[in-house]
Amino acid sequence: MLQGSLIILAFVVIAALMMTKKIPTLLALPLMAVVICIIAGVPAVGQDAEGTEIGWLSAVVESGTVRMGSAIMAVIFGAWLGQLMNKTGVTETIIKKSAELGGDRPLVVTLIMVVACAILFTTLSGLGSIIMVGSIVLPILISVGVPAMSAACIFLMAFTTGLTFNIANWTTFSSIFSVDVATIQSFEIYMLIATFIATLVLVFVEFKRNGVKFAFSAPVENAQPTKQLTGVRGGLAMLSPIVSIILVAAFKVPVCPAFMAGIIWILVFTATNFQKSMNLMVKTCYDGITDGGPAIILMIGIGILYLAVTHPMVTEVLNPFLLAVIPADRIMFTVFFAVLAPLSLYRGPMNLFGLGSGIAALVMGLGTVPPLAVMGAFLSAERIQGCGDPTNTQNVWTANFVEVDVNGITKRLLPYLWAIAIIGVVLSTVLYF
Amino acid sequence: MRLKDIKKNNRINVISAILKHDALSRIEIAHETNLSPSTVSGLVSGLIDEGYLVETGARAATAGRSRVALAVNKDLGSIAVVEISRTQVRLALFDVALGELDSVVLSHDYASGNDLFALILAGISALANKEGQPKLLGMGLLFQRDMDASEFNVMYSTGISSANIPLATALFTQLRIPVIEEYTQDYTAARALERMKEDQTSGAYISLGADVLASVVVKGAPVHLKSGAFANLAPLLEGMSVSCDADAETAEVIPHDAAHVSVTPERLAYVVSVLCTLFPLDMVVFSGPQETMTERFIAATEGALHRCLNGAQAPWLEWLHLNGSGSLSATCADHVRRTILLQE
Repeated sequence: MLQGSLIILAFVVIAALMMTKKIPTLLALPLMAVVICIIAGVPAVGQDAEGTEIGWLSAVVESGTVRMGSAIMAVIFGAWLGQLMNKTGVTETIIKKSAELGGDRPLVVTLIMVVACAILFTTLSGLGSIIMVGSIVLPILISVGVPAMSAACIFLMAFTTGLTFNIANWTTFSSIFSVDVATIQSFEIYMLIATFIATLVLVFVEFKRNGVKFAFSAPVENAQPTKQLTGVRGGLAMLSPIVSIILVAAFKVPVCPAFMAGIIWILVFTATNFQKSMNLMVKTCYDGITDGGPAIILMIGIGILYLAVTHPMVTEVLNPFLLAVIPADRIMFTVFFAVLAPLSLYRGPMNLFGLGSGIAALVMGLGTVPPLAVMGAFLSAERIQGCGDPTNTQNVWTANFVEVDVNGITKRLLPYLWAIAIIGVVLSTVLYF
Repeated sequence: MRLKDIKKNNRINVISAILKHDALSRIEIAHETNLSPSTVSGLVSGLIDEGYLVETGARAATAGRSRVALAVNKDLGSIAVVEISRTQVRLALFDVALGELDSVVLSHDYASGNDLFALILAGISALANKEGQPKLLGMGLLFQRDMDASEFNVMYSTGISSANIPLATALFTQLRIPVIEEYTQDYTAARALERMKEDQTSGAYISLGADVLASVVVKGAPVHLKSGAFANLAPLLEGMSVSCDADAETAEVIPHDAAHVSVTPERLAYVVSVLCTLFPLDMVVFSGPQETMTERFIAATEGALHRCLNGAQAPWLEWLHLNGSGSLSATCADHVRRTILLQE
């Protein structure tokens, strides 16, 4: 009992240190893993009767660094493809051609921008890509009469819609929940639909609220692409973001080969010179790894924390606490996660890219609730974190760029995101409980 | 093409013609752009009203009517160029006519990442935001040629999460102006090759540094080499065991280090003589740092080339030293200016 209480206390203290910006997440997760192991009495070095390593140095820290290996690789290849899309002008052309398609009608331009952003962020990742897309899309939205706050919210919702189908993220979730990518995909389809509908509702509500005329004629400034991709090859190049998704979702191709196919696809349809293409391929690979750096180091921490909380000696200590807290009843489970979903904000305990990964592993290991229902509940809460968390770099950048308060964005988006999360939790109960 | 796009293109053509010639009259713009005088007149009026162009006064009188020259309005705004080298960081401010307004050395040491970002912002705050200084329109980051822009990534942190973004992106985010990245290598080569193209001459450009890169222009047209516009001669120079005159192998050598390939005048002259047998070269332009491309090295190379050519007509040799950064900054400012005015 004492050990369990101390672990919960350590959990709260480290979470508080992280949320108050005293220590970064990349330090907090491994630190928490080590503290949990020490309190639970896991030896630093040791073997069980069968000779398997059970010491935290080896079984938790060493093994944890590679636990998310496949997800790390997916992030790298995804970021590489994203860099290629940015450097070859595919990203810019997709946005600007979309803006031209919308003409001078604000609502049409906004809706097309939402779709274009969503498609782009199925592949793009990292703050660099957010800046690349946002610095074009946000001025376009504002130039057609959408107020800055509304433009920021719509952009972030569109980004989150695309993120639902980001196959690099699918691999991350698949590693966290120890399920295959197809299982993640089958639930994320519902999340995609829910997020897209919520984005459309947001657009209509914002237009109504701000009195933007639905057929108002306004000029779209600076819609001239600087890197023109034209003709059949240009058209095919612009399909790059969906090539990998189609391969994974429809043909069940593993994620990394699907990204490699996307990389080859974009190089083939944008190349003008073999040597230059090869140089670009190498350069974007290195830049992609830089882009993926923050996610990679976070995943190393997640892997270590996962192995710490699933260590038999730790689960033995924590299970009595969790059994008392986590409802085993369908209705109570739904209410519990629907109400607590906003705790994913500010890097809270429901945040899958932090403490939530460890908690999810613990709850799944209890055996009192179906693991897939836990997966659905946490993926639902992830909607709120991915889009609304004011500590996300993309939220801060977007708010700064359009000069609005980042917490204002969270306030404006929370009703929509919470609604999506509730729908997701209900769905996961219906589907998997 | 939509009417709006046609007008936009015509505006770009007019500005482009003026930038190319510094100042032109309306009729000269019409000749240069193949637009009708009335179209040019309408576009020019709009550009004057918007502050892009100014009339600089009567330039020439023909058939009783004076032609008023038009130039870009130098007071339209300012352009900042940050030269980033391993030994210093310098910020220069130009007006739109490319006159240098002010400059300051931001650091006498190597600076990178968030330190460099902070230095540049402080420099901009001190120079560009001074009373009476025109509004900052754009910025160029001019990196030393052996640098990689990713060396200068800036950490964008919210306190809890963070991401690495390129320096140019961070500056764009902070200043909301176009920021372009360039390398001194590109400018030296661009200037040399552009001149050969303009003069319709044949020549070669050879850059001495971490690699030895060569580019060839024949009668104003660039020659497409196997590896593209440039061929790397470093492997050839380093592996070469022959020279025109073995006894004449001189001790004047560009020493081998991280920034330079080891080059002897003899080997360099031999490579040039080979190029001369392949292409009808009128001139060869070399570029490299002054500290390594010394007067003795130049004299030794010229002497060796005469020996290698064995009495045949040697091409005109020109040596560009890379430490004269002022003109490179102006070229970079010109590029930024074109990006802003032509929305390239």
